[in-house]
Amino acid sequence: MIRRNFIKKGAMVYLYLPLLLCTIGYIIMYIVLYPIVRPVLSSMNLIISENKPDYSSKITSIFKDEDAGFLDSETVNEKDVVMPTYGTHYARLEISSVSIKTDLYFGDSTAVLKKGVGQYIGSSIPGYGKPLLIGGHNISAFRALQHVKKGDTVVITTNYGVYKYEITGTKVADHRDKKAYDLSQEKEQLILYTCYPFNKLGLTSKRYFVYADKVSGPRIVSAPAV
Amino acid sequence: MKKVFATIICFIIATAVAISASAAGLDANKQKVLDALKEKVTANGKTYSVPADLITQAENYLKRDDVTITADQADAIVEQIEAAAEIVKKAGVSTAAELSAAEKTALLEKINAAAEVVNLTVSVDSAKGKITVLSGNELVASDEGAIKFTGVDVSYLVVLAASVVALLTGCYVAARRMRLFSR
Repeated sequence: MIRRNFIKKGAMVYLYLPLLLCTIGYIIMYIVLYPIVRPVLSSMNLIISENKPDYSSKITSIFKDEDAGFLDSETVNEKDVVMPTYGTHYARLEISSVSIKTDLYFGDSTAVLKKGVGQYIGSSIPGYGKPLLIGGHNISAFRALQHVKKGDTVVITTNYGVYKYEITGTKVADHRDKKAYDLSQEKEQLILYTCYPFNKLGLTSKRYFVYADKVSGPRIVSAPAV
Repeated sequence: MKKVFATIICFIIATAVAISASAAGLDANKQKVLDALKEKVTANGKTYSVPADLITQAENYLKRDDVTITADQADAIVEQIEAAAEIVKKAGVSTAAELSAAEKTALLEKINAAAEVVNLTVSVDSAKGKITVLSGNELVASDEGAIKFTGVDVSYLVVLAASVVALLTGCYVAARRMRLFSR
């Protein structure tokens, strides 16, 4: 009996209490030393992460809220459109039915996806009549993507026009399944995706795809080649 | 005299407008490069073409106002693209993976030469077989997959948690050896 009490007391003094203090100490140190710890964590991440190296630490923005969609016409001249560079914030994406409102970047690096949603640079910007492929994190920007329904509207606001797309369907597919997205089609289809399942932490191989067709927005008209 | 001045001013304005119009979108030189990229190659009854997403990456880059290509540069790039197409044609394979090491090296040399014309650099990750085209430090094109990881990467947290557990286990083992639990 006495020995059992000693063990209980010993466990409290030598195991549970150090565990608690260690955890609290770790949290405090993490908060205080975060600016110093961050580069170390980044280095660790480079060694153990499966993600590609991030080439775009510089995030720039060409999107101006006050100019947003100022051109309310059926067409827009290509010379009025500024082609974004990799990692540039150039538009805003909204799905009001599920309260998604996020910045849209050209490029989908790790740094970009921490700030908003990122467009694959092998897809076209709105207005060219070609597909757009946009990804976002399932714990932040695109967490509510699981609740979208057929018929919901996705709005992309750029400096040169407002584009509306109607959701036509959803699908779960492997990230290597190229049939899940067709980037060669001559149709302005908006393809949104995020990791699936939504409640699973870590890197998953499945993706949740949402497809939407263009309903309205100015078509970009090329100036004749000189 | 007035008419002469007016004619000169009109000519200058017309020229200036023409130049600024050609600066946006795709001019003839850029279009020439893009057309060469879109060209399909047929060999042994098989047709090959550059994947649509890679062409779009090139198109997106060429559409930028800060990217200018002269006629000579366009010709030099097209020459390299045609030489690369010839390598693929001679190889007569179904996929890039089937190319021999020598053919891959030759193909890469052509890609490098085309990129150098407009001061782009090509880097190759031989372990993953991925090619990346950079303008300075900025990514211009990559043949990496279109779909990215959009979940939470908790690998470093797992490593930290494992370290803490290992440390505590060590403390527990040390405490047992020192008979701290059985006073």
